[in-house]
Amino acid sequence: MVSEVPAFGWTVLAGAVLALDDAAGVSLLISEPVFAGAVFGLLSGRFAAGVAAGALLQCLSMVTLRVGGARAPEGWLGAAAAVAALPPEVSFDGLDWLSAASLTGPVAAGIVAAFLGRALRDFQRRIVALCAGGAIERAAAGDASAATRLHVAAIGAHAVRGAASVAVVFAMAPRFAALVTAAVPDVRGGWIALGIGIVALGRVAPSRRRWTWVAGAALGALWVLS
Amino acid sequence: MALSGFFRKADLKVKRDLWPVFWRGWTLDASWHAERMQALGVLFALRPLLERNIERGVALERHTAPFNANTWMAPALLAAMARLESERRGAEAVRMRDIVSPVLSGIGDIFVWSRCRPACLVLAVTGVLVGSPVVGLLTALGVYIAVLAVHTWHGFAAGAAAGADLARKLPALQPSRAVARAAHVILGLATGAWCVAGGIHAWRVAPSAAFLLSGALAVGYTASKRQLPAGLVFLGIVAFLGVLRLFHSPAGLP
Repeated sequence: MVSEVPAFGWTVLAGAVLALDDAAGVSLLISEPVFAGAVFGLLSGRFAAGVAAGALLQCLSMVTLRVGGARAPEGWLGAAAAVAALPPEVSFDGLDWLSAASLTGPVAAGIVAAFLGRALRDFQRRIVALCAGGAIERAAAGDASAATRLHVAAIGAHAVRGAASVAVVFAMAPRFAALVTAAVPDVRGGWIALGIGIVALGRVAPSRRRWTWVAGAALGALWVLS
Repeated sequence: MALSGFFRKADLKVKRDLWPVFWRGWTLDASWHAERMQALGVLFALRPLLERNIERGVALERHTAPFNANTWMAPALLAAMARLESERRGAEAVRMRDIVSPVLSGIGDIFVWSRCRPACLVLAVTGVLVGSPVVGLLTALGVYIAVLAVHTWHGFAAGAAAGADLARKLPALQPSRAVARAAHVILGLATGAWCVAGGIHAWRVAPSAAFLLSGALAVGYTASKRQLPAGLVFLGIVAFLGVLRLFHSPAGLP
């Protein structure tokens, strides 16, 4: 049993664009989960829900050092899965949605989808590596057309991979999330994600400017108490 | 020295025949693979220039070597290499590439991955948490794209102006200190604000929620020191609570 993909054409187009942003070159930030959640939420007619799910996933990938061969999970695909699996009854007023136990399943589905997306991207890169040897040899012999064709094909393959994977994820994620929710029906995943996000921030926030932490704490207390 | 200090108006005039290198260099990562990394992307970016070279075969062969650079800093390097190739100084381009690429990447990686990008993401997520998602998302996106556009284009212009002197002008290619400082402040403020506001709100909702938040902080901190992926930590905590639930959780965990 699979779920229907809302606004199918736009959803797969968004998947293609976000996959390109994530893997093909200079990222414009839109492939990060919080933005991808907003995009897919908008396409599903549930912008606030999409943004909230994306924000939770963003807390889990706040700092990704994509240095050298580091392989970050595909956060945008995770956001797509989380949006697809969101329950209809959650209210997104204030911060109360962080306590919604029904968000745990969609976030878990998002994490799994992000890791599967990374595996698929790595598979694509291995195929490029297999084809690259011949193209590089021809370029060294004075003919760069094969190298250029392979590069353009890789761009196209990222787009196709993104479109296909988002369609699959939209169809399958609700089922997976339902299994998680059935297994842990009362775990408030929002608070767990926020806690992990705070730790990630603390690791990159400057230790020699601790006054910013204190000022932030004061601002946070003021905001929540007012 | 800030990036802007290096530029004079004359430096910003990039020859028109170098422009395609900038746009083509935008997709440097598309054909990334473990053996030669961005080599195919470099060939794609420089091809229009290399094809015009009298010794085309030798020129193409020079740029088949493995190449890996931070995508924010690569335009500076590609522009310098393109200029040297267009002046028939290909051997210098290769020497300069081998010297400068690791240093430039190191500078860019710290700035992009642990300053600029997390700071913009914090703006976006904070917007969501305070109930103004549209403002947060648009602000983060606008700031990020503005910094990216200014940095990459100015880097490209600086690389084209410097040519073989790029190695000597590396300090001037450093990202703006003001931006890095602002990112630092945003990250610090958010750390404190999220922690305190989250803690108070969680306590108000239910003490068990505050317990969950503080537990996630403790486990997350330990896991991050061991470089464990945050997603797996989340799944691990959820699975642990699921197992506790089987025993009806005498401690009353959520």
